[in-house]
Amino acid sequence: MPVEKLKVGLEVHMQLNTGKLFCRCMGNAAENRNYFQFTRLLRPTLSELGKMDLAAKYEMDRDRNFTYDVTDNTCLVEFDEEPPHDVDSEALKASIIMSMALHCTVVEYVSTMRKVVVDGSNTSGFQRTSIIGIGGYIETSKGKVRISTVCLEEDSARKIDGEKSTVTYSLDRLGIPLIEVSTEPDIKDEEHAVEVAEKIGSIGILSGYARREVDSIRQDVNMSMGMGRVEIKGVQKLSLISQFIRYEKTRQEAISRAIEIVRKRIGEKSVVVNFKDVSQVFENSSSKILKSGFKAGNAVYSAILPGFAGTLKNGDLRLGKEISDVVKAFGLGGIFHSDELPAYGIEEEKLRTIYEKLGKKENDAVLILSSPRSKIEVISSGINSRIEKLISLDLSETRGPRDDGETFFLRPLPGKERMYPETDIPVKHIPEEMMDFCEKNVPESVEDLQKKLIQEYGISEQDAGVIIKSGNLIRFRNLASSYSDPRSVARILLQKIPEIREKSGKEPDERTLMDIFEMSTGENWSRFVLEKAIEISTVSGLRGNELKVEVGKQIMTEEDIEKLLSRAIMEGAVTEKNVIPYLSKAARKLVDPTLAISVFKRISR
Amino acid sequence: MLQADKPEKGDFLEVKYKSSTLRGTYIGTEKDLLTLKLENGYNVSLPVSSITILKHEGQKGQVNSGERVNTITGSGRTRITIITTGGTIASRVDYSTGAVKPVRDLEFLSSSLPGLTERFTLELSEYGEILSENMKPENWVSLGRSAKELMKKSDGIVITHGTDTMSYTSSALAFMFEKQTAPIIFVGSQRSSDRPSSDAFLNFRGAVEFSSTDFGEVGIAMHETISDDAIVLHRSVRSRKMHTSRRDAFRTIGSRPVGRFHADGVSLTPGYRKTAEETTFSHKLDSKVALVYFSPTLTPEDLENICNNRKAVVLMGTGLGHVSTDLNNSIRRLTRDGLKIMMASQCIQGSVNMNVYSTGRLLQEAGVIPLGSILPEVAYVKSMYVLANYDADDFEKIMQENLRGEIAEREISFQLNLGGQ
Repeated sequence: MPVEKLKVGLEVHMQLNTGKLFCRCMGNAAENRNYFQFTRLLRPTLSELGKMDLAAKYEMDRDRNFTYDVTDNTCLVEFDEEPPHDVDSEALKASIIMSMALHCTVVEYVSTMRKVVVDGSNTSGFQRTSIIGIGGYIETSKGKVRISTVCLEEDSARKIDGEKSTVTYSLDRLGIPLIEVSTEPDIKDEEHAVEVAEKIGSIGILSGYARREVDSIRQDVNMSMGMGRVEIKGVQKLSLISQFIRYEKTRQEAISRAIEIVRKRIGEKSVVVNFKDVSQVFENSSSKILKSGFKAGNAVYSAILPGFAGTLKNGDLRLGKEISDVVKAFGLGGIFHSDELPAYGIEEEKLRTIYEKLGKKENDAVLILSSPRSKIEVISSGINSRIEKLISLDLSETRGPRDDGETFFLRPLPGKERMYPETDIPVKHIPEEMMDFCEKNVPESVEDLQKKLIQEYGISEQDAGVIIKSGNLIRFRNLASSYSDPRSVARILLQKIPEIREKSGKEPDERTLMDIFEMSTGENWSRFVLEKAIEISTVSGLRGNELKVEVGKQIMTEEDIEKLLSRAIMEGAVTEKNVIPYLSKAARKLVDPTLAISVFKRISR
Repeated sequence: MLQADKPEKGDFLEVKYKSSTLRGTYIGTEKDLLTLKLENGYNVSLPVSSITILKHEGQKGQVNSGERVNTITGSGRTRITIITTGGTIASRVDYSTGAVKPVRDLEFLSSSLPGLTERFTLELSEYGEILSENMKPENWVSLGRSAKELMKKSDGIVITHGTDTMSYTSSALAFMFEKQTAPIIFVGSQRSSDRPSSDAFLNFRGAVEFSSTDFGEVGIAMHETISDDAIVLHRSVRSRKMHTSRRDAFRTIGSRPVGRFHADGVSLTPGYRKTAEETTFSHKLDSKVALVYFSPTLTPEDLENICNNRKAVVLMGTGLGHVSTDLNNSIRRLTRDGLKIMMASQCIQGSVNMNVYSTGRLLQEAGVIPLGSILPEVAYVKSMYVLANYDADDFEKIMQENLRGEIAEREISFQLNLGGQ
């Protein structure tokens, strides 16, 4: 089979640094703690066209239940115990700005859809998503890449563990706004894919709304070589994009060759795999896997795979892995096949019995599997539909990325069947003022923005650069416009807060920072005292007057210093060189060094 | 958009919108917004005035409601009749219009519940589409009559009902049935069955399970907690919807639920009325009753206006059962003229006691009947039943008598926990 030209498209998902999309919870949990858990069952529903989505049906067949960890940045909306609130207007602005920056047509009315996802990653069983921008483009070194849509959607819950019958998710991430930018398959090759992803990501960062955390930007890679579309979900590192595309190219080419071999042997016939219970044969097998399977009440099943010998595991031909991936998705350990047997403690003579029993011919392969009796029917049908797809060279599916650069079968590709309207949210008109605001805030180039910040706030070029790249732009602008010393704001955002986070694992929110800035102006605090106050408040949770009192307790005032120093100077116990150590030792309080020196200079004259 | 171009639901359209060209299935036009389902599954709503139709082809995408009809299902020995009224549990959304349509397909509810159809034969009986907030006493009566008739050929009755007024309707049935041959279980849902996370399926399963026991009363089956692991059975006359949206909104007030269904099966706490050999049913209710929530600006005139043409009024007073003393004269006059005025508490939890403060004693002197721990809505329904079925002279006595378990004689001491988890 001739391999067609590679086609690649990307979906770039960017988390926003606003509050959650449909409730007023914060994006980050304040404490890394689970308050309680609850459990859910999910059932796929029919779309408004009356059809069930394939991916959803597949999940239903897997028959799993889901446990959710409740964190402090969640409310009943994340539990699916309360209807969604209004869309977060900051997130909406961010998505409009992004659409404008990508030259899209921005819709005047936002319709929210439910995208059915029953793998448990959404408590409701669907993800809310809306198209904001349509039909844009970006310029790249290899020409224009068209943007099909810019969507605003909710992030899913974070999977903690479980592959089998129960899966646990944390709700902390659920509902964080995501902007999804989808390109047309205009991407030329793997290097180009990296460039496009990088470009789209940097526009998000420039807009000031992108969240800067681990896994806050994730890419889905769509690619096709004429054998169906494969979607590789959730690639976090840019550098891995090209690696996955290369891996996928190799995998698909190898499958195509393997199927060619099978086709030569069996012609155009279809292949149906029929599993037979062969537990008797393996009753006292020394294979650990089969033994522990029997212990758990499993039976051993076996089936002929006609014409597949030597394609399951033979050099780069790996169809065995393709089949085993499906079995694993149903919660079993995997499958044995004749290309790799005898091995894993399975005895040769038992194999011979089986091969004879099933009537294996030279070119046939044999599959052996330990499975609960209740599951064999659905697993067998899963394997059959997989094999049918393989031999008809329809490789379309959703695949997951592995850290080593390989991909694995995740689920069938979902279709449009999985979309239906979110009936709890009316169609929303975007007000003109918001459109105007967004138009004015379409991000410029890094250089222009940097220049603007330097000019407006008098901060250094380096700080301006870091503020943009670290995703602190909006925060900085908000804080700097409410405090007389923007340089101090920059220092606090770029150095002090990361330092506090490092030490305590906590971080002050914008509201608290504004309050402390206001207090600092009123109290005429020095930079040192201001920073200490922020630290004290973040760690202890103190606010307002209580905070003021605590600051007084922990930090020496000018009066304190003057009193201590004047006596020490009289006694000759202190010189300019040991003012600070002297004071810290004498008072057991924090000393603002600049202040201490200036007091010393003043009174020692 | 030209009239000749007028698309029909399901047609394929290609439209120009600003600088973009969009293709998809026509869903509908409402308030000058045309909704198109794009090829990627998203709906977009576009102002009719700002689009140009470039291409229009008939019926390319197929739209149907996906509705099937199946009024009897299962092959089990236990026969359960499902009476459907409106409400979230029995509804699906018609996506094109946004209207809520009733589920007429039992298979839909039962198919995802393993083993249900082997043990039960479920039969559907449509009462009619009626939103729970539009239910009136005449509906309670006709629903009760249907239940009585259907009971003759069923081992259990399940009634799907909107949750908003489920306590009212189920309490009305509880009073109308003095004895019954089969359980009557009301069931609702807080999340519609068109979402994967709907509680409808498990609630329904619990209701079917409870309806096959010897529980000879009227109950409500809903989630125990926000988790999908247990369904509890509330005695309807002690139940109340205590949250607008949570799955576990229904609570038994002042006591524990009568039954529980979870992975290990059904368990019932003894003390309930068992199913009887025959049914005793009264279809009589007198609806001239009002329920009045006291607030500080309620004037004597307000009260008198509400009481006009009524035979009984349940006051929801503050705390142990008080209203402003400004109302005392009116109350005295109204009761002297034969109006029955009763007192329940806004606190919901706990019992009315009008002997503790002098204001309470004055109200009693003015003729107010204290109702103890009866829930206000239940008192309201009960008075309709008592007015229609007993002598006026016995009214006070019967109202204070525990007919159906509506009075929590002993409030069990446990953590007052309204929020759940």
